[in-house]
Amino acid sequence: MTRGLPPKPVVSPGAEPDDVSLMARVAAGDAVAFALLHARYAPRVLGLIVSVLRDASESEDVLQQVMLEVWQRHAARYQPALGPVDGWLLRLARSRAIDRVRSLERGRLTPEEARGVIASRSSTAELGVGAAGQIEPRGGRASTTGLDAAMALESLPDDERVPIRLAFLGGCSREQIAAHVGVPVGTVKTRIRRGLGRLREVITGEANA
Amino acid sequence: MAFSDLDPVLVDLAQGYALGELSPAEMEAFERRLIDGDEAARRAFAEVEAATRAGLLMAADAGIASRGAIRPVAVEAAVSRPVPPRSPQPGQAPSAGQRPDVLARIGAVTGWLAAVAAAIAAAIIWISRPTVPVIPTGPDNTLAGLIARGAAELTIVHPDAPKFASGRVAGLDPADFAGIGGTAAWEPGSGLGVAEITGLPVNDAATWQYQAWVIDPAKGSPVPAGVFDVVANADGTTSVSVTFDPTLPIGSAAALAITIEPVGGQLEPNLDQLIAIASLPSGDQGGTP
Repeated sequence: MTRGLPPKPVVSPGAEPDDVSLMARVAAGDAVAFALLHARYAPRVLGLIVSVLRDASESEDVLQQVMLEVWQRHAARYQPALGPVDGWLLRLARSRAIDRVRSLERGRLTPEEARGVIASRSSTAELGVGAAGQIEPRGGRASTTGLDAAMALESLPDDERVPIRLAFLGGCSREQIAAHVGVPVGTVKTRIRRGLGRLREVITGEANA
Repeated sequence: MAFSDLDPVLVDLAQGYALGELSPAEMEAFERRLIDGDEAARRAFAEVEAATRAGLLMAADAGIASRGAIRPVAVEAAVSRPVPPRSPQPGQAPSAGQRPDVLARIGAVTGWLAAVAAAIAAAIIWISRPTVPVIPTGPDNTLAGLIARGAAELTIVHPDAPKFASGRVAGLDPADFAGIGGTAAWEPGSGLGVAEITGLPVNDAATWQYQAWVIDPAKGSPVPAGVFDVVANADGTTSVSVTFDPTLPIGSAAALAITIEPVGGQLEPNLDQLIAIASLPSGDQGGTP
């Protein structure tokens, strides 16, 4: 049954809950928890949607769709087995953003834009850091940041870095990447898989045995 | 785990799921397998999850940066250069004042109760707000006005910051910040903070900016309160009046802080680049109503 709209919350001060317990509260219909979840993740979810749609107005509509879906039904399905909440939310958001791209019957990147995505440096323009190397990423953080990932990505060989850049920073599907790069879709999937494996090694320190 | 150990079809499915390329039905079906403990699905998902999550965070941060999501803070023009509105990006939405707010539309249609709408709208407004900051209106929201209304007068200090190592920001040295001083005030009732700061080095607006923060012990991390630039006065000195405009309601402000951040600001501060702080005395930390 589709859930209605949130009831009036009772706001009380206190330490903010961790993500998993927050999701459990949202699933139970806690409107305050939903507001906290929204405040915590809406900027990043919107950022991801913008990176796919590259249209702020459309992106804000998709953000609303995603957050409403979370409230109405998806929160109840969340389990830790699906990975951290932020990644789960971002996957859902990317899926809905790609759905919106398809519904708009619009191609995502022109060849020129794709070349720009491929050529730019992850650690600079997209992340607003300015000239490369002038400001270092934060150290000592337990969780991976976007900047950490961007820097790890730059360490990959071109044939792996390019499809991953197009997938994440260009908002391209694997089929679109194949068209941009000029290789079969299966090759794109293989390169992304191999590249993600290397990224995992860099990011988590966990090597493929 | 070697790639060859895994079913390529399942890995392809996991990759599609992790990249958000599955249809809603496929997505639900794959999630069901993960939740139900399908070991093969879990192994395939584990192969791609960490890296794709990192990639999604990277894309999200890039999207935020492309929108200039963190707005400039109010800085008085008399003593410094206001941050100009960013040029609209292709496809960028008009300001909140030019288009109906999506959440407001939803709220109007569905009758969400006001408190929830307000809480959520705070987040929406933050990310869609025009670059000209909205400052709470009041009879006098200057530093003197706040103090006249009873806000505590705070001393701005440059903390000892051994982590602020020379060379971390190109061309800057910790000694450049040793002369920072000034006065700040925080009004618990309105959640408004103002700081008049002297001695801030002129920033290179192309590569870094100052960012204001409100430290709320009840929150997991400092609350962003805007970014600003500093330019020199005619005599070479600098003096700015900064209005702290926190992005979220503050429960119990404990301090106002300034850090150095990449252009556009960040969602979390580089605390090892903390260059000015004004701590509130206990008892004056009340939050916004």
